[in-house]
Amino acid sequence: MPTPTSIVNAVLNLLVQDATVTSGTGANIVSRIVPGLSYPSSVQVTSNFFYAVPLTLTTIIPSTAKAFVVYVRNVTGPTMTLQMAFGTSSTVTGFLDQGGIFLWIQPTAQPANDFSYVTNLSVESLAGNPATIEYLWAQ
Amino acid sequence: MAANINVTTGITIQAVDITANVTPFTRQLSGILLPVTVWAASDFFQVTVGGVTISLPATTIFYVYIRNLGANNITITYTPTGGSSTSFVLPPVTSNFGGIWLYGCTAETAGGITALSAAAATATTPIEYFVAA
Repeated sequence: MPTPTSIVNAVLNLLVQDATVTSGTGANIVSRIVPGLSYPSSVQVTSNFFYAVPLTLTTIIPSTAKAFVVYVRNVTGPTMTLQMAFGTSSTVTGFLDQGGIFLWIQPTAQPANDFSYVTNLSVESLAGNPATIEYLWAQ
Repeated sequence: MAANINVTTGITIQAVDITANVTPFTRQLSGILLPVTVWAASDFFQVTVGGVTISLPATTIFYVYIRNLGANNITITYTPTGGSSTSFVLPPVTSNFGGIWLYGCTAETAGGITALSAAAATATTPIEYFVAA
């Protein structure tokens, strides 16, 4: 494996609370902190803090790339289309609402595994209302 | 239906160029909120080679988090709302963690997934998961 030139680090924090309890720690039902998520990239890291999603399906991760870290957040809304393929599978289409997050982090690259990477990721704004996203992907 | 549970997500993500020793991308997000009424979770869910269905607490869920805790690949199969079923692999624990997938909405008006299952390669392998709607 080539020497990494970049590292993507992440920490994930998930907290589930009883919304009817307005104070105190008794409201916490599930708390999960996942630190130390680190992916060494020796190929490419691409990011954009403010990307205006076109009204036609537009590629962010090309079909020639194999992304092992993908982060997409719909910053301004409205709901947009998020389409991608996992490895050699067909593309799958879903939706991401305002504030919605798609996060995919693998600890290491498995480029020979047909289903362990994201490729051909495209986005499209819906109903004539352009959304703005931020994203990062690494291979 | 009024929500009685709040799902709050925080993410810190940064990209470090270790050759130039600079950090061109840093994002620290907190308070990403999805109000829900039902949820299901497991800290140590055993996934068999033959595959197991992860029971969803609602017809459509709008938050899913899965992490591979074991030593084998886990194939996740899911169906997005209005779409076709698809599969991907979460690699085993390497460098202190296994593959992670998080898909979270902030409202239950669009998107979501309607089916979820997992299958392990080689041998029974644990995952942790959280789903909510």
